[in-house]
Amino acid sequence: MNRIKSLLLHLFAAVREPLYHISDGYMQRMGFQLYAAHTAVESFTDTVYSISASLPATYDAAGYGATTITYTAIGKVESFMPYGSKRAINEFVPVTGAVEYLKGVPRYGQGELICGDVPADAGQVILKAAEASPNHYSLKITYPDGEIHYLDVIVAGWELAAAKEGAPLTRNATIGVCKAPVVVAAV
Amino acid sequence: MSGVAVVRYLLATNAGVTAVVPAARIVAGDIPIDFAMPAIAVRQISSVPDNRIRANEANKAHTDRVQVTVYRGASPDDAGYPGLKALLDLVLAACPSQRGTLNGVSVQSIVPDIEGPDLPISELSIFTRSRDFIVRWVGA
Repeated sequence: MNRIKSLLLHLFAAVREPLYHISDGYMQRMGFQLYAAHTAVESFTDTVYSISASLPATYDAAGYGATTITYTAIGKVESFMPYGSKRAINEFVPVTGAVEYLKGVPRYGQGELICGDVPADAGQVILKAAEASPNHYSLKITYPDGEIHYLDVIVAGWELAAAKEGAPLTRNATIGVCKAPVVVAAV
Repeated sequence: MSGVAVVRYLLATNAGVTAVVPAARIVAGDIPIDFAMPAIAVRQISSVPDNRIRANEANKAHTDRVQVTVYRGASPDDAGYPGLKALLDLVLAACPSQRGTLNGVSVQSIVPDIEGPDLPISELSIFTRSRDFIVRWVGA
């Protein structure tokens, strides 16, 4: 009886560690596990915007974090559009009674990335190519505290800003976010 | 300081200006006490870095407001008030907008800005007036 008990204990010890690591790693990759997200207000200063023409195998933290995807930093970024999820509030106006509101489908955001025009910048070269391409691109946003957001985007514009004496030459990249952002909090 | 270095260099190497004011009397900052007239002081009013989201990116553009103040003594020893305007015209002509490396500074543009006012030092019979230049340069 003791031998059976001892054998079972050894067997349990042998599988416990791998099981723990597999499940823990899976939960981390899938974003189920809570990370140490910032607890105070953070600043956008020193956020890094990077882009890749590669798409992930799966649209989650593991897919975007795959070593097969090489992200290239976009230089001289001045501002970036809002993104996330926003839905229209649709109205139904009855003949009698109060107006009823209905939530629409989510929009993940579209707008402009504005950067100082540097034609030789590797990240800006990819943005320019993305505008001419019908393909989706992967955008990686690394916030100063280490939090990473991955966006599935299309680039629909690559325009030089309007000219004005003394104003810096800037580029406006029109970006549409096509899937829900994948957020990986800082470890 | 880079904008000042550029404008001071342009003035001190311009034949038209140095014919009136020797290069030694074109100074960065304030002119010393007992300085001979005429003289030119080149000062920085402000320098604004072109900040992007990543604060430490290399090759950052800066926009400097540089003030050039010309000093002339009373006539007949110096040209007096009429000479003030003539000297400021020479200063303007010496600093045309240009790009390139000037005195070791990578310059994008030099744009003339506001002129004046007159600030006479009455007890010394010295006439002064200034002109600003907007110097855009690239550096750390």
